[in-house]
Amino acid sequence: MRRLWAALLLAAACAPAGAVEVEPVYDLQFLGGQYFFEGGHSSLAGNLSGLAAPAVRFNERWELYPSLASSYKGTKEVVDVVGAGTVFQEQMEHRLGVKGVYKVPDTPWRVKPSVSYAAQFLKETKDESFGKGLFDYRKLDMGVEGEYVYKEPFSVRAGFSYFMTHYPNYTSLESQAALDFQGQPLARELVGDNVLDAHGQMLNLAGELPWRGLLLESGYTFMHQRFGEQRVVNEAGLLDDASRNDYLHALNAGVRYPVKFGPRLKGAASFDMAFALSHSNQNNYDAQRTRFIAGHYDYRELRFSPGARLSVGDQDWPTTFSLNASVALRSYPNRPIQDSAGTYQGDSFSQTNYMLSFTAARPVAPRFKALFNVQYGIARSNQEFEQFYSYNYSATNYLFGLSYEY
Amino acid sequence: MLFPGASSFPRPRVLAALSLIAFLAFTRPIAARAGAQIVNSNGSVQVQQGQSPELKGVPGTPYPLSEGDRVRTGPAAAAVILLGDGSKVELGADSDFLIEVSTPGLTRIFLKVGLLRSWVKKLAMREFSVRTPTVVASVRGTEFRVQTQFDGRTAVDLFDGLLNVRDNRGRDFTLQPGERIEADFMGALSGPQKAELRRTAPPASTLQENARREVGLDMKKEEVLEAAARELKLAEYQQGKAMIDVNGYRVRLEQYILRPQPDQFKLVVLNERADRFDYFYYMGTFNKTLPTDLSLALRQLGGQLDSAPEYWLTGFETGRSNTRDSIREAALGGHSVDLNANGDVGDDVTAFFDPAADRYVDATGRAVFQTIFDKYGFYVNGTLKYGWTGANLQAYANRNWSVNTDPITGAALGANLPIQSVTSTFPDPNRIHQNIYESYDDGTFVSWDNYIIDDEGKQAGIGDFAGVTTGSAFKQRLLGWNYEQVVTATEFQGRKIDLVVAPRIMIQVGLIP
Repeated sequence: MRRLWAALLLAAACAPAGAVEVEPVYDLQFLGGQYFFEGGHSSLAGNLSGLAAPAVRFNERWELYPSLASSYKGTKEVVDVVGAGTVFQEQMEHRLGVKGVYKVPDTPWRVKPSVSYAAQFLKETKDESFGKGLFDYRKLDMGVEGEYVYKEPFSVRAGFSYFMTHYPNYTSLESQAALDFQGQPLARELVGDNVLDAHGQMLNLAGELPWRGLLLESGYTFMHQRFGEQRVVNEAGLLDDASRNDYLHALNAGVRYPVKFGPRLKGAASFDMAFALSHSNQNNYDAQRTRFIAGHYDYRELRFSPGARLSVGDQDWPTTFSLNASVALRSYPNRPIQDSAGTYQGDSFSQTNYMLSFTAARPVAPRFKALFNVQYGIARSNQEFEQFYSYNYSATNYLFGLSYEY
Repeated sequence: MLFPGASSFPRPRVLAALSLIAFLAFTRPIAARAGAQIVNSNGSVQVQQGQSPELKGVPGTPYPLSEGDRVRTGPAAAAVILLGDGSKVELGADSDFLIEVSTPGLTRIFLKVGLLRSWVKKLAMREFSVRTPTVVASVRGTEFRVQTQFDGRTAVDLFDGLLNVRDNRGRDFTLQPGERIEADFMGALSGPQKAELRRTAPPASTLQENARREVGLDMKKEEVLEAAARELKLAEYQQGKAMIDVNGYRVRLEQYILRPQPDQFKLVVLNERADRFDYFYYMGTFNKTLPTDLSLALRQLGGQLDSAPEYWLTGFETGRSNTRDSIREAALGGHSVDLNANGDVGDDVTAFFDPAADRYVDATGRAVFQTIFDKYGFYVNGTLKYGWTGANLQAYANRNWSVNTDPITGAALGANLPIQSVTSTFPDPNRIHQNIYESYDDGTFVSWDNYIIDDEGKQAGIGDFAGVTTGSAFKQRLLGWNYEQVVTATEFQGRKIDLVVAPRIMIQVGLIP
């Protein structure tokens, strides 16, 4: 890392003074709002997010994009983990990234090495403070992407990255309880400590294609995560030598159709589809019911997301309205459902999430927009056991505020 | 550790990175000092360089421009030109633009036709002017728009600052912000008129657009990783490993099984809060080797209807601890007895929890086999509080309460055991909170506070159990809730054991009677 910075600074220092261009990009958004979940609601709270990305062009070949993105969320959104029920949650996230772009001379190829470090902080209960949240995590990501720009700004991209995630405040309780007060074993053999920590690899393929007035987009992601300290649970409820490995395949495709109705009215329609298939070698052992569930974490998800955007008024000062919907059908083929008392039934668990989102944005001054967003989500599932988590619920949130873009 | 020194992630390097970003972020945009350049182009944009007779397409940005260069945009095209002084010009579709003069003290642009909008930097010693076939607009620091038709007719709109406009007849007009003036070859059509004009920000350069695009692409990748993290967290919540207790504080819960011996299982429940760690275990020893699928044996743990079970306990041990204090129960000599045919009507079972059906069934007149233990002891911090013994007991009515001997070890006690008396109260008439107080005639006590809470720590009210009139119905309803037990005792010296468990296993083994 130190060498990378040294090289970048050296490159910046060696570049001819007149040739280096720096153009900063700033985004700032301040929103306030509330969250409603099953009859309860949060108090009015604010969300703040900002981005500073000073783009640097050293010469015709090299560009550098350092960026710092920070956000604070005082109110949950429908897309957050809502089934856990609590309306109280604060979240803070910071991401520091550097990306270099090397334009291979006389070719449409670009090579983009990158490195980023992200930290997420959560306050979900009264006794958690920022930095002490159970599910806080840190992430380090290093990658490289090759891009073939066949027609500006359209391209196809292939990227590979290696990442590590670390949950500093999460250690398994079992690993903290070796012996009981009688001096007898209280933990299983091979139990790990930082069981949520993982390292993994991600492969991305993506591209866009303009076609007959449409813009077509598609992508594929493969991700592997290895949880080195999380041992696989076996049929007897004990731990095997093998560590948990998760594999995710995700495909997405979308089409956008811009329409111009007149000089003061423009619109765009979009439709996106995504399919995800996740497989894990980890199983689950329900100690309460002494039930072994092989492939407990496997799932597949199909998502459809239609959307429309309308831009009204002066081209330089348009008011935009966006309406987006999504339907996500997720199924866990190996996870049996339970009745309301927790007894396992024959069918496998599935859940459908519906979401509707409306956003209005109106410029109020150069670079400033007033924003209003409302989201409504419904979840429906054949899972009736909701002692720990609600699988059937509806949730709403609204946000309003200002955005600034430089 | 995954990250070497994860708790103090390379701070100097992070700080160095932040410093660099801060330095760059607050640096004003630096353009090539040599002259103007096209910094963003969209659609067909062509440049005719100096005296060159041909127009060439702009292959990419930034594209340098010099004095005498001409820029033409096609239909639906646009270009952003950054001038040497940092001023910006946005050229609209079907426009024809020429840099007439570009010196340190003067920038003069000729717009033959089309639309031009400019954001001029305020520089005292510089002059900036836009000429069309019909007007010359001269400014020092302003935002204005010039639109020229093919017949030379020109409209000039001023958004900010002051603008001097000279028509072909040599007349000067000063425009105020929000005013427009129109002119043709014969001169201005009228004086400045009020117009509905709104200021906008200068358009982004390609570099800025690229920065947004690259950050956007990174964020998309970030979303995949964030979704994976969310999935992990989701599983923790769905399995009940993360909960909130009656006071709104975090409770973590882990439950798992150990198999110390082939005929034994040990259920362990661990609770963690910010400032405490409590645990409970139940270890059962069966009459025979247990199968891999424990449920076959455990579903007979509470006994069996109509016939003797294949598996029964010969002994069990429970432990509750806050890592310092402990409560232990131990039982030995377990054997299966039909309680409805043992000659003691006092222990007859009328409602039996059937683990297969996961509910209570009517057991009146049926054989109900349950385990009776010949030896039992209850210990607080290792001190026996009470116990019993017997020999092949057929009913607990026949047990012998221990007086001066440890029922489990058979060791003689230094003094007679104290006499116990028990009271049960519900301190809050609107909440399900039971207090069981065991007092002993040696002045000691053990107090059990049992709460029923939901996953968010909300205490169950009487209304949540409305219509429940029997113990079996109560336990049936209880299956949908969590059970929080707080134990205090004289021996704990003010400390407590505070446990949250799902009640199923406690009902199944008879710990919730």
